[in-house]
Amino acid sequence: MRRARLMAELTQAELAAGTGVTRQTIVAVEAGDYAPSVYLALAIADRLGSTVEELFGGVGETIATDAREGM
Amino acid sequence: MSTVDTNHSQGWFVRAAAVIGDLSSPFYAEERERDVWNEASAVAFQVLIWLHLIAATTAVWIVGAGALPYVYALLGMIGIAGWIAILYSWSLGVHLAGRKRMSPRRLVPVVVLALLLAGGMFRAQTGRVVAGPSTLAGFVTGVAAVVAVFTVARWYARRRAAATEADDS
Repeated sequence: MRRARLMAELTQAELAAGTGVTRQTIVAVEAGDYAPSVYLALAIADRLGSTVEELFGGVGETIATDAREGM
Repeated sequence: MSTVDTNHSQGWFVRAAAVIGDLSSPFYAEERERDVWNEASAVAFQVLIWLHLIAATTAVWIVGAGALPYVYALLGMIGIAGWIAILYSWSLGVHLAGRKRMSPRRLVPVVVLALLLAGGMFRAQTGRVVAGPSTLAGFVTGVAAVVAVFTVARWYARRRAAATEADDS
């Protein structure tokens, strides 16, 4: 997501303002410390001109794998 | 956004809880802040429970029978707060029973403290007139009140769960 944000030439603060969250939340999402809701993920993808799959696809696969292994 | 929309047709209990908790506050609009605050509140709630139990246990062993009314008050307060938390989660379809069991590492101190408290209360109580009519009446009334609250809570939770199931179409 960080790469996509830099390609879109947005700062963390600008992306935060554009998606209605705090900069700390963007920092946490980029660091992988926070999994955004589907609403925030869609807003971020929209703002970066990308898709949720492109930005968070790897994360989703990891969560799905963990869920399957936990069953 | 909060999981509770106060304008939506939630039950009266959930709506009242949302008002008490100020869940429509703009603070809850930022999702990570809400999540972090919820985690912080969970930690604080656990700390509060432990402090109440430790205070009750300490008081009943040091002061003895004179501390019993305060111990009952402390237990009543955490009991009410705990029940509100459980009832709220039940009302929104989250049932803790049957989910992940408490790990032995967490269970041991709880059991030790509960036994210490129960022992202290028994020790303090046996120094008083245990079987007096008013004591017995109070005991029966207390047990009846707890059973009644538990029954009403379960009935309400099942009704909410049934309503949620009915919506799943």
